[in-house]
Amino acid sequence: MKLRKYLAAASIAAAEANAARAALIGQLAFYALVLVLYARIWQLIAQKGALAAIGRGDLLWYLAITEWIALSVPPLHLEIERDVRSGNVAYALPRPVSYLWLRFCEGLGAMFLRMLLLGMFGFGLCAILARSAAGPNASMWPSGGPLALLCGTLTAVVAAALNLVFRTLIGLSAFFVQDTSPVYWVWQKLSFAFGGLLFPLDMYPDSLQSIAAATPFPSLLYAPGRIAIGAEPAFAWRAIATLAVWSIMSVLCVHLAFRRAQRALEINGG
Amino acid sequence: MNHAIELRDLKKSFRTRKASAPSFLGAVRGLVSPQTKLFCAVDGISFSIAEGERVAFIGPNGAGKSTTLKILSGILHPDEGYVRVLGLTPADDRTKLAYRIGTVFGQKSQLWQELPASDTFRLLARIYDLPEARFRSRLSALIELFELEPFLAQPVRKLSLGQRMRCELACSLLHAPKLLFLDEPTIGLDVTAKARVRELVREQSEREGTSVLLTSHDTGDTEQVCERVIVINHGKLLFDQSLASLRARFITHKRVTLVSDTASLGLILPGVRVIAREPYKTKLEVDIRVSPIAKVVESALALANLQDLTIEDPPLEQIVQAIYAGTSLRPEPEREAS
Repeated sequence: MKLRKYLAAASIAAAEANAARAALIGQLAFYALVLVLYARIWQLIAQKGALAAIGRGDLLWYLAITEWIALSVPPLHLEIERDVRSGNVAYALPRPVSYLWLRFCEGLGAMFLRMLLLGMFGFGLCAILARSAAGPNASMWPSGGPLALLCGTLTAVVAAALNLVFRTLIGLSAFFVQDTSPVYWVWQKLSFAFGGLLFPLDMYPDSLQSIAAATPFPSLLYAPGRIAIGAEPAFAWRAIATLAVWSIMSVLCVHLAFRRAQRALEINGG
Repeated sequence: MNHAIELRDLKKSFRTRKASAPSFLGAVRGLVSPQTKLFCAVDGISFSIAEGERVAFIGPNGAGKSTTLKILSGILHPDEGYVRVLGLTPADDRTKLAYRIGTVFGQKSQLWQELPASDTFRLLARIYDLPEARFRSRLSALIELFELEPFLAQPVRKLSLGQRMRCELACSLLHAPKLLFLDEPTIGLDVTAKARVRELVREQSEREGTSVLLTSHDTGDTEQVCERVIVINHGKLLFDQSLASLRARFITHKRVTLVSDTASLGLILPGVRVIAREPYKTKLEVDIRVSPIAKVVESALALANLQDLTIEDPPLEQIVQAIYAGTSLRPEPEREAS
């Protein structure tokens, strides 16, 4: 019965995201711009012989996956911040459903819708760009083949959900600091840098790779991207296990943070 | 009598941070060891509301209204005191209570802006576990009562504020709550829309016996929706009586406008002063404790033939301000006759 409530919330959020066409078109345009731009950059770099370890097509597919995740996660932290700052949270709390998980499921609904539309568009565009980058007889698939891409895509969906959990956590900070933008700013920069948004972490210096490995960021972007372009099965299993561990830990953190947030409301009066 | 709300000696305090000294050192000290002080938001409030009763809960900003509402809806725990809402303890039985209360906050929205209001209704039906048949019958009744049909399929962002507020009300009533909390339900609406919303709330309460606790700075809401007024300030209860008692107790002066066949009416009575004079029209402020209205009319009739007579109470707003200030109502300053 409870699950139906959350499914209904996810479904209405997906419908709302679908209705906000201007935002969707903006995201599609940005996604296309990034892919086209980087396809050109990889081409120029490859012409100078600087790309060896990973092929241009794979780099493009890697970027398509990481950007897909980054663009699909809705700004749930801003929604929660708005609720707290406007007092809308007073509307949402006295309901027979958890405010926290209702908001999260709404985020999931919007995320799935974005993933579907951005994925269809971006993967199609990436296939065209990858083929043109590697020559007319080359494959449009990443070097791991369609199965690796499928595995990477599925991992990316879980990674995006984990991203959403972290955004929920950032949103909950609004109960204590009101303005979540500084927290999000730091999070986003670290996520892009240590998550390997633009290049796989394999291209980073060893020292940076080991720092990144101690953080959740590689699970959020790098792991699904790397699996999608083809990785050793051992790497894939390890990445999936790490993703699961970070998911459990982050959900626990969100749960605890919400309890503290409610207590903060009690102390400060909201 | 069954009570929708019972409050006894309710107290709630919050710890707030003291402002640090306006210097760099003060800012650092404030960051390292912030100084706090206890702020008493609700200070021993007691009242009860019967089932089906419509009560205005008013007070200036910071009086403790929102805190009380949050305690009543189970968002906050009281520090002290007895609270029962529809037979439940709100903070302990928040989920159970949620099925039986509805809330409308005039400045906030529970509607999904890009979608038609009907989508939000469907979501709320799920959240409140309404069976499909019950949802349909309830929704069609609300659509008819609130006249939502013409704009039910339009995205909420395209609705006027009045239409949106009618949808908000319908959202809050979908699960047939026994108690409705209304917080500034007519804020920002035009005169017609305000009147319609007030009428709808009253009708709905009378039809289903829904208790209403309304907070509003618009005294029109109080006058046209409620039958009883509770006034609080600084967390303390100042007044809790019927609207009629409020007027009787605080109205010491009335305004009388006389239109006569005499160009200038020279009425001299104790407690009566002329506040405006035009040819054939005289406006008086009458202290009814000194000179009853009947005596004033009688004296005016002795002087001239009256063609029209209007007796007005001062606006409720003035009465409420007088209660906040802890004074009896004073007449407005005298205005020169034009």
